[in-house]
Amino acid sequence: MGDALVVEKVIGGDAASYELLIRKYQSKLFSTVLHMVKNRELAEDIVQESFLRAFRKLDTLNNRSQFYPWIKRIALNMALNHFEKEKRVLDVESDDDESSFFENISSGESPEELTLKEEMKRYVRMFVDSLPDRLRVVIILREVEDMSYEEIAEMLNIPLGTVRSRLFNARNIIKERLIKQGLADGLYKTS
Amino acid sequence: MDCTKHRKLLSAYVDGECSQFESAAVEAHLKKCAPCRNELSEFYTLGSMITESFTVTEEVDFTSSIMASVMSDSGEAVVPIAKGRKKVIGFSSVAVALLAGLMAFAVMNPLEAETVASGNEKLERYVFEHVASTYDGSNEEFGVVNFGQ
Repeated sequence: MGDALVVEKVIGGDAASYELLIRKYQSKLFSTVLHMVKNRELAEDIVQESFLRAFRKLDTLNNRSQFYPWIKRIALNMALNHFEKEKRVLDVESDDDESSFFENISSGESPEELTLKEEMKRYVRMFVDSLPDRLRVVIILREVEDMSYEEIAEMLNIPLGTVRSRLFNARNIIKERLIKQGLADGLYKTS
Repeated sequence: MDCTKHRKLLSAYVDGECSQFESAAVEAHLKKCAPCRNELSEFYTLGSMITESFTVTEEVDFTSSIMASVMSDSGEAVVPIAKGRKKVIGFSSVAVALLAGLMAFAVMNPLEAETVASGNEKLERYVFEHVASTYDGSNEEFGVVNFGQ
């Protein structure tokens, strides 16, 4: 059964059918939120609350087949609200954030123990996770969630040019780190 | 060659987020600049590596708790779809097993005619001893027993 049909049924009063949407999307949504907030408990709370909010507002979903993009947006907004509550406001430029990036990186296993590609991915993940929130969120929304600059700007309430510069900075920082780690060649060999 | 200016655009270029004018400028520069072409490749590779390193989906199950809230919200009882099905299957299995057991018992222990006859005699004796005083004699076959007369 397609999402649009399930959504119609739920709106029509068959609340039990909502379970189908939960089972289909909960893990995917959880992973997305976890990448953003980096805290399991918080990610769990956000996912559960998002499904409940979506259920309550389901009749406002115009394109019934777009349930997942819609609930993802609800969840990501909640994750961003969390940052605001924590006073880690995303559009405030801070040099401290940049310097703390290097302190957040753990040494981990020896690079020789892994294949080049796996090793690269592991380091890339580590470097993304260690980015300041304002850069990390933007690069995850772009590369992992495949959102356009316009969508990111709208979601974070920042200018389009800021999205562009943050992505440029984030990519350069990660690349610099890979070079320092002696993995720059991997960018060619694995491509 | 002004690589600095163009490199700033490369990140947006790999995302397909440059304007038509910017794209044309980047492409013209790339044609004559090998280091910037390398940079472009790096951005593409880095992008796919970030995507790949984050696309592992962690399996979780919050169905029960979310559905409990949803059903309480809609004022209905909680009957999870999958669990409900399992329950029906469970009851059916127990019923089938019981029936099969009874049939097997009946096959292994058939009632003999003597046993049945002996049981009937005992019943008749019991009825005679306990209810005969109320018997009005209207039916000698004991087909009808009238109480309270």
